[in-house]
Amino acid sequence: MDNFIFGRYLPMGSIIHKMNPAAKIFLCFYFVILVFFANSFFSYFAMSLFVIILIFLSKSPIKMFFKGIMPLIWIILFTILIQILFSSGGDIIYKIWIINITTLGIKNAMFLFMRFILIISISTILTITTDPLEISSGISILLNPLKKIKFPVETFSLMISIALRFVPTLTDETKTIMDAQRSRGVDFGSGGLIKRIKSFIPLLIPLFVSAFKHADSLSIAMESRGYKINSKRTHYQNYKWSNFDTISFFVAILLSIIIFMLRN
Amino acid sequence: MDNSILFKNVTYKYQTNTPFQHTALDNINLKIKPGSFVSIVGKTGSGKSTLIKHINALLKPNSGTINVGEFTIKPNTNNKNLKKLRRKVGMVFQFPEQQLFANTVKEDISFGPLNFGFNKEKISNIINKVSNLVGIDDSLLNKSPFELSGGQQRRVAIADVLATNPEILILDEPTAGLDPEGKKFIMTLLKQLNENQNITIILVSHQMDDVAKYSDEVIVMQDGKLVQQCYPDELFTNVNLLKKYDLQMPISVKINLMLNEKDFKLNDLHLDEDELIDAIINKLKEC
Amino acid sequence: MADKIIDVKNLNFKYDDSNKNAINDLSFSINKGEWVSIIGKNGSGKTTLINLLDGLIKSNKGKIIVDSLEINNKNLDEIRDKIGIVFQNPLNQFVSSTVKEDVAFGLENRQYETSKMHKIVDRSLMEVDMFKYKDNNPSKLSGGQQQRVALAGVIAILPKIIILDESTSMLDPKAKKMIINLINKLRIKNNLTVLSITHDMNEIQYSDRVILLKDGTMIKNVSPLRLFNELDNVENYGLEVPFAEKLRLKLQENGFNISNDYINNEEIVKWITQYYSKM
Repeated sequence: MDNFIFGRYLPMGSIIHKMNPAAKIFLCFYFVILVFFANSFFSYFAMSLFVIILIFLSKSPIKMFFKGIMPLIWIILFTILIQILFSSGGDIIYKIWIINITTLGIKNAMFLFMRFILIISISTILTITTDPLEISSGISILLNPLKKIKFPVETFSLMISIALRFVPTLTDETKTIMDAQRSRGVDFGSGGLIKRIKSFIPLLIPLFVSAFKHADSLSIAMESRGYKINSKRTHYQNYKWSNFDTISFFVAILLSIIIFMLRN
Repeated sequence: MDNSILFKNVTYKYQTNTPFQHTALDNINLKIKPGSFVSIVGKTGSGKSTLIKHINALLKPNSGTINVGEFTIKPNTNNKNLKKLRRKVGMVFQFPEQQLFANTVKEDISFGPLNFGFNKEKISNIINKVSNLVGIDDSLLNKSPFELSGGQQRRVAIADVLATNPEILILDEPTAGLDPEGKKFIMTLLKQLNENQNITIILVSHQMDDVAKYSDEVIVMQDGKLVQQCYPDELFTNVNLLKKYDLQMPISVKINLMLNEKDFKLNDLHLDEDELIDAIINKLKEC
Repeated sequence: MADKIIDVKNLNFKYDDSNKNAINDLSFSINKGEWVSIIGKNGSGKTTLINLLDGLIKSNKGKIIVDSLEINNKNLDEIRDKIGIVFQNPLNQFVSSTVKEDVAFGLENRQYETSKMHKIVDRSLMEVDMFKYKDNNPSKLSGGQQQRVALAGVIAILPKIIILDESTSMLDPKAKKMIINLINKLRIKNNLTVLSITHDMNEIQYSDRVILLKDGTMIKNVSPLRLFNELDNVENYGLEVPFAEKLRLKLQENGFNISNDYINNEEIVKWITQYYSKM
């Protein structure tokens, strides 16, 4: 869990790293939506070229992308297989029982594969170039308009940041409690399903107890440091808007125009 | 049965094949005799905790072997069949009260014995025995462990480990965060277990006064290497060694040194404070 | 007479789920610039007292005056501007994943401007010698470093009183000493008052005065030197008898003519060697 959330950020100090996190998150979502509009070979080619440029600009090591794709590889392959085996339309290349393999099926499968790769790549670029704290600040900036409908944006973003802060602490505790229970003869993850589930009780209860204790003490500490729920606070981090952020919005518009022109 | 612990060329690396790779244990060779009381000292991050986790195979070496009595732990040791080893080696972690989980103190204590397949009758005997040892009153046995005070929880957690009748007991700073009374209780208990039941005690500690007073042998770790294994008086009388390994001087040694400087010389070195006091008084009485 | 910075009068407090008072008719005062240790076994009411002083819980009866301000529901912000607390477990007081932002937490709550905040955070981190760890994750630091970061967060708001709630009890002896020395340095430099809950003898010897609690009642309010003279069995109050004191008592028991007062290591060694050379 620790590596999943924290291990991905690489402080390479590239131009992409320095972007405003809110802009980065927004544009990342925008790109994901745009991916769904691409429907031709050339539009996918343009998107891929764009991502390759981004990878280059962000100084991200290529192997991080494989790391991002590997855990999802079975889901990707499965969806592609379904797409190939069960879509109709186009010329039939091969037919067996109720299964038709068609040219359209293969084309759709290829596009689907590209979608997966593009979406995973862009989100990997986001997590490589933005530390978790910036992501949480970025999200809270984007949520700002929700203040109008009385959504507690401040509290929500502090909540995210505290949750992130406790990830390494709880990870360490999980490891220690697991080791302690192993020493008392627990075999995590062996035996039948019921036995396996049962073996996690001696891990989960202490973790819950500890999380509540942390929460209890932390709330006292926060109060003593002058925190009051729902009252106004200022922020140490002030994310500036740079020219590069403005340029990136224009690039996004340009890319959209290109994609729409290249659509079938 | 011979319950010696033997490390042969043991090396362990964290996060191998990543940029964060870090050698936690570097070619460790050591022998711990059965029935001894051994303290492991050294700075935070020197490899003490990693070392002790190898003794009950929570970690397995990248290279080298560890023998614990009849068991051998190698890099490719199978994760199954470790139960017998873990029954033999009890492990008390830092802040062990974190591991409590059962509905009652009694259930928590019987958890280990049940896992190791002890029978019911034996377990109820054990509960009585270990709760007496750690000073947990019978009236607390049916209470939830979470209702107890911090000091009591610590004792229950230690009872949890003692309940499996370990022949080797490893403790990582068992007195951290306790008041002086609680500290003394636990240290005295360890000494008792060592002397009366011949349990091997392996203690990781920063409290040099305790290390000096209670242990037969001291192991000093530094940057993943074992840099010293010797008798406590060899280590604590050598000011240069203490400086080199960045260790505190026990108060008894400090006073002895201060007295020596002013030509008040005792015949023997006394690492136990009470013995030192008696020695001083006897010498004053003689003249 | 010196300025009183904390004045507690007939304070009483009872937890809802208990039938006994956790704080029992407590009265004492602390002067500006003093270092006062509060000692007593676990459960004697030390932490409850601190929570009362910071307005984190409300007393049932009695008065607390902090820097000439009597605590009530409306002035808690002002009270908390005057008091900074360093807690026992550093991990339970951090809210942020970077050191600098954690130090800034109190300032953010007080709505400081960003630019001013940056300056104060840098300065506070320099004072505790943790500036180079500014961008680190506090969870990954050593215990001693974590407490220094916590201390930086406390001094950032320029409090008049620093409360240590067993702040060094989880540290190794070396880190303990370092933190205590650091706090003493800051105390002298900024004319701070320090109120410390502790079991540590070294720390008690630093203090000007010791308040001993038992079951919520004050047993002693004396200088550390007098504490050992006035108490028969300090072990009953969760304290360790220092070596020199054990030796002094044993010498007295054996009929030696030694001072009736507590003396430290150097003094007792001097006494022994002088006695010996006279023979």
